[in-house]
Amino acid sequence: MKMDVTKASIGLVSVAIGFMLSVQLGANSHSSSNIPFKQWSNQEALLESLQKDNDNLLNEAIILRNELALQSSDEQSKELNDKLAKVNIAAGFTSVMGSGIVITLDDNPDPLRIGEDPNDYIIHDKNLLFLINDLRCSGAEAISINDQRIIASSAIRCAGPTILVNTSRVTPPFEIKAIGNPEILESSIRTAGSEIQIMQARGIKTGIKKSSKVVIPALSEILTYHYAQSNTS
Amino acid sequence: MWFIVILCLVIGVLLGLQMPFMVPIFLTKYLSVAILAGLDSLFGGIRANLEGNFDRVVLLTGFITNSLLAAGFAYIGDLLGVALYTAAVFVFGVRIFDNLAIIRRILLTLIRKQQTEAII
Repeated sequence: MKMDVTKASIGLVSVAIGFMLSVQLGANSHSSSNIPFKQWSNQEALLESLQKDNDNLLNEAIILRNELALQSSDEQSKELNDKLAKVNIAAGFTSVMGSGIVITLDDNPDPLRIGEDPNDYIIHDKNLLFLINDLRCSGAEAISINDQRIIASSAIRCAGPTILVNTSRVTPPFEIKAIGNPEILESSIRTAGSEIQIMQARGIKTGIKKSSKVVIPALSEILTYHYAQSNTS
Repeated sequence: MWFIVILCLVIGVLLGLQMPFMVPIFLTKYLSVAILAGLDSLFGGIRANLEGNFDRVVLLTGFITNSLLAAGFAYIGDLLGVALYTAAVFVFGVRIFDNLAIIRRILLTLIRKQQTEAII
């Protein structure tokens, strides 16, 4: 009888340990199946599909916008059309063409010397922002950075190794196009203390080219307003 | 005795494999310490049985409290940022090997005794 009790209790403990062991092994094999990687690739697929959707919608928007332009040209009066054309240029809804300048910027290619700040060798979001401001000061009517149209609500900000213009990543070399009076634009961005001069002093490669025909593409994004309403009353 | 231990372990493993749920990943660390404590109790029980001073209350309470305490201390250690986990692994590891060594010696003396009796 005593032996039976012994056996029963040791058996009970054995069952419990066996149970714990198999549960633990199951959990371990579960965890070694790279869940983070799985999640990661899922997220990647999701991102890809969203980007595809985004591209499709952008294309659709451009097509619809063109259709709208065609229809309205028949019906609207000339005055209204002129106004619309101006607004379209200001809002970046249409591709524009005219005389202006093309600025190219690239990071300083020289190897870093002792005591120098690597930050001085690269072009930052703020450099582009100040340059855009310089261009606007001198009467630029339309501006783009690497074919990203700059409009009133455009943001230029740092995003790790790249710069976000509107919501698109741009990387060096940058090509900044501006439409306006080429002479005025060039002379103003070349004045002492201008952003271009500051960048040149840091060794950034710059190129300024006047052109009689600069083409700036339309804004590739859809503007939506959730808060602002027109107040005409 | 050995037959029962192995049979019951197998039953336990099969039961565990049938479980529909998975242990959350963060608990596996504590469960492993609890398993070590449980193995220590199991070998301790076998050893006590061989030595003839087996007490099932000692075995069962030891199994439950040691497992829970080991897991609990490992958890508290993690909260405090001290690796109490390793202390539990060390203590129970040493005890398991101690128990195994003693079980081996007892079995050896038993076998030798049988052999000498057979010769006589």
